[in-house]
Amino acid sequence: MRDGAALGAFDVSNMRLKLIRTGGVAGLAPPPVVVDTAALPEKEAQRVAALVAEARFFHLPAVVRSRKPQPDRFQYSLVIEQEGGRRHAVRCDEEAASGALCRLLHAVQTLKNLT
Amino acid sequence: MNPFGKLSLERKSEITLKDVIMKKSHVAPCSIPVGCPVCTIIPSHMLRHLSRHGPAALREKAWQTLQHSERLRGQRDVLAGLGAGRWGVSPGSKRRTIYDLSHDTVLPGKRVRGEGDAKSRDVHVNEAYDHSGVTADFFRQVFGRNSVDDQGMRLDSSVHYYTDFDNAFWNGAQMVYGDGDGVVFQRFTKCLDIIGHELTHGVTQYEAGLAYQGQSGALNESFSDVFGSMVKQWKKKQTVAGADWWIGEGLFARGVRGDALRSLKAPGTAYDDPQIGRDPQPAHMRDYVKGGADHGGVHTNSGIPNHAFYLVATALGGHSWEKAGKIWYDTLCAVLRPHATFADAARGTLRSAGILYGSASREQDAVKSAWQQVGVL
Repeated sequence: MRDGAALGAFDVSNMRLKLIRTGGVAGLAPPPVVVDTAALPEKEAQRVAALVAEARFFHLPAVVRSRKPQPDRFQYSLVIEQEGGRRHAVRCDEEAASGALCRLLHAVQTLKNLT
Repeated sequence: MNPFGKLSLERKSEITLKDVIMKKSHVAPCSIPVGCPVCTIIPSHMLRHLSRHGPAALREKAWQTLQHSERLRGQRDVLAGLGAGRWGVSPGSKRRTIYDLSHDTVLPGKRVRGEGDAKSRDVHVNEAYDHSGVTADFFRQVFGRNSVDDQGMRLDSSVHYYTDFDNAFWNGAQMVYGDGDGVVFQRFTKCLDIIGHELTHGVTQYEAGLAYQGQSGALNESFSDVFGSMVKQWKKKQTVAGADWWIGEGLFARGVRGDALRSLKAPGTAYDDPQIGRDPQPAHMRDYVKGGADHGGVHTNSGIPNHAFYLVATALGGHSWEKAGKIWYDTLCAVLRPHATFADAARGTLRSAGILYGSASREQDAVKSAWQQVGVL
């Protein structure tokens, strides 16, 4: 694996995100949203990086399940790879996610039109 | 307004009382004088259940009996747990409140319209108010049910959840609606049957309590679609032949190739679009979808019990809520348990049909045939 130092001009906030959403009243399974923050406008990339930090994403358990699922809620699977090789995957029920994680999930979902 | 008429509702109540008594206490029904307010042979816990969950006419009798017992025996505890919650709101009154989240996600948001208030300028607010009102009226006038919990529960709705949010849900205490992204979906308050669907999740929570996973989860979804569809048919005064049997017709944004989210008449045919894919619902057990996503495909496999209801309703003709709806409602309230399977629902509706209309009746035959046609029986 190459590390950031070897590559030189490495922005640590560059991340690849893949979000899969299922459930909801419509029961649709839309195509995954795949985002490379390097390809986003800088302001958007910074917003995503801030949301990832606020959600403490890399410290979350791999599975965040609701003990009593609420009808018609979404379920999400989010994988984030940071340049440098750091990778973490979280599957969660929307109603079990913290406010910060919800904000991250909703923001990534709405990035679909920018990819 | 009561589609049964007074006399027939009374008669149905007696049948249901006998049924409940047989199921709950195994006492021969003929030994119990139904109209008598001093049926002390019926245990107080059963009377409490009846006073909350029985048909309207029966709830009154059960309540009178409880009061009478209390006077006779001085047992104040008989009435504990009923009290103001049950009687603080007169049956038939609604308590709707609409909140505006202004694209935030912290519930409930700012109160913008209460019961009896003038119309808002916001169509989301007015639709949430009107459609939840029609749904509450449907449950009260058709099934004698007093709101979601049958105890006059407030009907709270929050609109404008987050930004371009493509969903509506019941969070266990209230309804929540997104605006839709305008690309795939329009606003989620738009359709009466979607709001009926959400409120029925509340009814299911207080009745069978169907666990939201696998077959019991698909039944939970199906009851919401079935009652959501019936609310729409009831409002439009449609017969089973005149109804479209779609769920969420008109919810898709312009350009999406699809009529609706689901079809009870022909599961799997509601949409077929390059962007969102094809309606995956099966109509038969041979096509049951196994798998983890969406709590084991609760929005997919609900097509099977949905179609069973459609088959029963169309076999019986007339209005869906008059017979098929009654069979399904009684099964939801008095038969099914949280981990019920499709087979349990089939046996439960068969039993309810037998109790309501007689063994080997046309109605019971229709129920049996429907579950056979979808491969459950």
